[in-house]
Amino acid sequence: MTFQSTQDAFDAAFSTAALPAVLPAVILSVGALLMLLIEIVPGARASRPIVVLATLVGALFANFTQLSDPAGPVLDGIYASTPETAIWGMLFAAGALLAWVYSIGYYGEKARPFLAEHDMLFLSAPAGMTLMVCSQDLLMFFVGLELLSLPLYARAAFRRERHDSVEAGLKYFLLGAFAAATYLFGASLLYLATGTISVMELKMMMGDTITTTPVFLAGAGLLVAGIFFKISVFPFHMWVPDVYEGSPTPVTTLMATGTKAAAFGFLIPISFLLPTEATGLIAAIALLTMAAGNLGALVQTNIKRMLAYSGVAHAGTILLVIAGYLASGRDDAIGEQALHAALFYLAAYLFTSTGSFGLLAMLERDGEDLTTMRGIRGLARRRPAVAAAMTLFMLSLGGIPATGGFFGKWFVFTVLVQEGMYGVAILGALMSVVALGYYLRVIVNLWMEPLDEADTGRVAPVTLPAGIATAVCALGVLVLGLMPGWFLDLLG
Amino acid sequence: MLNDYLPILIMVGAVVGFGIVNLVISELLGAKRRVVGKGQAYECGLAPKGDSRMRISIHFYLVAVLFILFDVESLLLLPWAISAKSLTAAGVGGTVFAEVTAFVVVLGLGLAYVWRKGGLTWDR
Amino acid sequence: MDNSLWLMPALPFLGSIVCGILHALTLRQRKADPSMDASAPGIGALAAPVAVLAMVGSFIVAVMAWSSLKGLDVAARAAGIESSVWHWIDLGPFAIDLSMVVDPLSAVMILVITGVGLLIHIYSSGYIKGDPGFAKFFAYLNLFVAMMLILVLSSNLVGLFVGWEGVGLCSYLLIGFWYDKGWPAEAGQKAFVVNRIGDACFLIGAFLLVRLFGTLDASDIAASVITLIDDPEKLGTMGLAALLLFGGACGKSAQFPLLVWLPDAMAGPTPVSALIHAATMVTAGVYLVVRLNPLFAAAPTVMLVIGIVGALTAFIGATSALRQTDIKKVLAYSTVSQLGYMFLGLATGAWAAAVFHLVTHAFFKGLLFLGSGSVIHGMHHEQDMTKMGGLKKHMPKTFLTFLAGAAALSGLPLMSGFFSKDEILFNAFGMHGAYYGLWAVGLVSAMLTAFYTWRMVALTFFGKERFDVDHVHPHESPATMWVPLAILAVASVFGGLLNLPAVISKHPILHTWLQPVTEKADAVFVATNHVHEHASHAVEWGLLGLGALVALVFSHLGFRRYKDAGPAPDTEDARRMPGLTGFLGAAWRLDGLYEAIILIPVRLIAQAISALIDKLVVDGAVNGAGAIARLIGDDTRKMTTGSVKSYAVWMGFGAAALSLLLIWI
Repeated sequence: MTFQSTQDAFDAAFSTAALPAVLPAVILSVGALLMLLIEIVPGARASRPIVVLATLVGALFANFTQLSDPAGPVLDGIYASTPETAIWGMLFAAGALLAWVYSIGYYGEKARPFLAEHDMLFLSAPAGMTLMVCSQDLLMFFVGLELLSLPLYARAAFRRERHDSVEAGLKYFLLGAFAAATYLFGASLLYLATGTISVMELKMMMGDTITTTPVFLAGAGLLVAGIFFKISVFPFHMWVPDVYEGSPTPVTTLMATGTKAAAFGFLIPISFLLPTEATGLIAAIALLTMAAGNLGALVQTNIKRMLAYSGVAHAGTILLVIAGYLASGRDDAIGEQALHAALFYLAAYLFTSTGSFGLLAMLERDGEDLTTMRGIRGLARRRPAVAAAMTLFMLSLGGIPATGGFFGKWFVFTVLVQEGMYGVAILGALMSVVALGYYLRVIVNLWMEPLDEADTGRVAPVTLPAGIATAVCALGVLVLGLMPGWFLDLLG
Repeated sequence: MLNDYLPILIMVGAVVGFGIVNLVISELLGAKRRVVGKGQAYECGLAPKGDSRMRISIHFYLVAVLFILFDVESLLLLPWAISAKSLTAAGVGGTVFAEVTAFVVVLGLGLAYVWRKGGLTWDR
Repeated sequence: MDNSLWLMPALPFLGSIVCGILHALTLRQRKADPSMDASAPGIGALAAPVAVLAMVGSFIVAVMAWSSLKGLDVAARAAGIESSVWHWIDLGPFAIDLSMVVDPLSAVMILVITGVGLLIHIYSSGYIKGDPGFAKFFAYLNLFVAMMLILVLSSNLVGLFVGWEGVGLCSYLLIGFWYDKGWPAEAGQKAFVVNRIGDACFLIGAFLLVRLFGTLDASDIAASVITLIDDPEKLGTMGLAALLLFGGACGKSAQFPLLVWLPDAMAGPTPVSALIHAATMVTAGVYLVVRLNPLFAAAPTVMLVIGIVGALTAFIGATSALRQTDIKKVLAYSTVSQLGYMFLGLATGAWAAAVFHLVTHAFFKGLLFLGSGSVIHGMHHEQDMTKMGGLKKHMPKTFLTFLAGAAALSGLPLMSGFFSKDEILFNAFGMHGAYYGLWAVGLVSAMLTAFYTWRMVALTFFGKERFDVDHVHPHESPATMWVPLAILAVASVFGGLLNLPAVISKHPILHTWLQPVTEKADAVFVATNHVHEHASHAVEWGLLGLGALVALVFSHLGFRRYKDAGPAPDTEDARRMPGLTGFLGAAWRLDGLYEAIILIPVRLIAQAISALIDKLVVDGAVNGAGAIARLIGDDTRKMTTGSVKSYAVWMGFGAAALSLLLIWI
């Protein structure tokens, strides 16, 4: 865009209309800074929970006001606030809040001096995610990505006394840096080919011959590959089990839900960069991802690791909507439908996954064994409520009707069937059969296996905050399963 | 457009080729006498001692990272400094100045945080 | 608008919740009072009356719904009585409205479900007495009935699917009820997973229907099929949808090749086998096909596939039942076989005949299962028929009712099973062409059925006692158990009156009653020129006679051969034809086949993947103790620098491949 004067450019970029649009991200960033400030002001530590709660609730509210009255593109078109981003933002804030609640009491005495830094993650991460989904500019997304990732790398290694945690942090960091480089390389190739990094301008160029040049396509491929790392798509998923297992569980929760959601929130709107001929390729990648995730999960005995693989499989399922979108010849209406399907899927996944990881975090406090298939044996007799909630989450992950997980899959497969991709839909549905095998194993172990007498003493009591968080997650799963229309109505 | 890069490609090819050719020729033609001393690291004619993979205090890296962080961030002040006059002429100098001040304050906060947490103390 | 319909599933659902609470209270009671016996019911004893009352209420509502439907004129019956609508999803062009509808078809189903269900609840209160999970059992049983009612009452396929999954879940919970024995839990899991294969097909079929009709309302779909049959492309898609939905039905109704779960499901308590795995849940597939009958009528090829699958299943089931020694396994394979008959009936467009057989089968197979339960109960949990014999004098009431059930199953003349099976075979015969073959397979299966049924009766009740008479004292079951048996016995004997063949009665009751549901399919048959002329009365008399003769002869053969059997009745055969006996005993070795072609490869791939990762991790640790690992220290030798490298290589390779592929295509 060209402007008559600096004044014009300035006005276009910084009108006051932008303020409500960027408010959620601003609130979260200020909260994160405040959290570090608390750490260095003597005697301020007690206000930690207040800052977390105030910031996240504030962000929720700020996003909520954007829902009915979105500001649209602001700041010279590098940032946009739409109903979708408002919902994403609310999900991020809610997810961070739930994960944070589960972290209360999770860490031992050794970690206590560093809790402010830990909590800062739960504010900077949703800030980064919000930037990611709102960005209309390849660099802006990168800023959000790093704002999310850098603290996450550190927090993965938060339990410094444990080798697997340190290993997780280092692995995540090295591979994350590699993926970031891939993304940036892709973005620079796109700039080389088109001379712009604005998503809107790129979209307007689609159909030009320029978008079929090797440089453009290579750029698009590398860019997408960089994002694929974050959503753990085959063959970029290998780090997932190691990192998820090693990281402290509340941090894993955030990685599994928010990061994936934010990356999809940006990836689906920019998937127009891929040529329509890539339909089969993306569908194949999605199916391979589902296969890798499901088959990997099938043989796990550690539930955290199993959930990690299952997360990979879910990422594959969501990726199918992009294949559907490309199959439609990049039709905008289908694109929106695909985005909404993914939004719903990830909303259900966020509640389900947060709930199940959170319950694992609770079980982990007293003994590591309790997060294995053996460890949860007969848990239903000791903690029927915990077992019932876990069962609900497993059923939702498996896509049983009347849970949110069912409609997530339903909407995704609807997109595929609409575009006539029956074969892919059938293969995808068959994968969910395999998936049910391992979710069922958890349920079987919870309810059916005789109680291992030696373990009975070690089951931790359910704390009030964790109980409330679990109830909220279960409610979310059920509301999405019983009244999916209500959620979709929010999008208008 | 890609044609413009052809000379670079030729250059790259020439460089790599030069290296390979030299290595291959010396491997083929050179005399080979393997003695223990040849396998050792060369340290100005002295006999090498100790392990070359020395352990360096982690603190060194911390300070190095902090240096780069603040260095790069303060680099962002340069574009503002250069365009400050024209911005003032355009009537937005005050606002931009306020923004830059906010940036410096955040940076300062970071410095305070690092200081307070003992990141700048060498001996702990 | 009749909202009392919601009561029908709601009552058992509430009952289930109350029983669940009672179970929790019992556990608490036991904990508080360690002196209490683990099998003492405590407060949980209240569960039986609660559950039975809920069923009585549900049954009354069902009867009221049926009678008010009966009061309507024929045209109004097709639409049925509908409860108020719940807008589950409303997305403009696509909406899912849930409501409960009682039309002639669902009226038949709810009467069977609540009626037979009520009897089985009463029976269970005697059978399951003394089990530590007494209240839990009734909670599951009630929940099952609620889900089954949702399945048949839902106007919408999504609602149907909710019930469909719900009954699957309850079935799974009930099969695994005695989980501490170990293998029932495995069997439950197998049932659930095999069913999911069918469910996946069901869902895709449903998606296709949405695409074709823009709705999932069953009656709307049934009504719109005829408007689309002129479009060849749409007709093809409809055929695909019908095939996929049939795939779903195959899973739930244990048809070939998904039949393997049903025999294993017998690990559950016997009343469960009677209710879920004979009378109700397994017939859901038949219900689904009848519900969408015009869709299937429009696809003759799919109909033929259904016929072949049905006949094949009937044959596999009947042959597998020949060599079982576990009384419940005989009945399980028999159920598989009879379900095959129902699908054979559907394949000929004889919807009413299939529903007729569904109803009579619910009577006589429910009866036989409950009777076998009574035997097992009386014999102190012995299921092996080779260890029974001579029970008729120990358990006279069970014996008499069991005879009635066996007579109906084997198709002895004038029994309910005689008429219903005969009508299916008659319709297959009337279709000509390939269906002659299916008819023949059906007839052979009927011979085998008569044979294994009377083999079972002879081994169980006749001959000498093959158990230790001094130590085992078989006893007759209490009234709570034999009264339901007697009621079902009467129904099994006289059930045929519901739908007498056309040669005897001008207006077969069930046939006329279902007319409003089945006429849509008839219209499709007319529109696609697939009308079948009915065979003459002479042929029908002839087939009736043939059926009667076959049943009598083979019943006699089976009975005579085994009535004085020794402790190992089949050893002579096993010695002469070891291959065949083993083959039939293991039900055509289908389990082994699936193990070889599906399970083993999947497991191998999964293990290969984890082994690959392990290898990368371990190798990495051995090879690449690089600088970074050194920094962390020697203890982290498992710090997998090597694997980080290989992960990075994979990623780099992936990114490059993605870009190159994008450029290439």
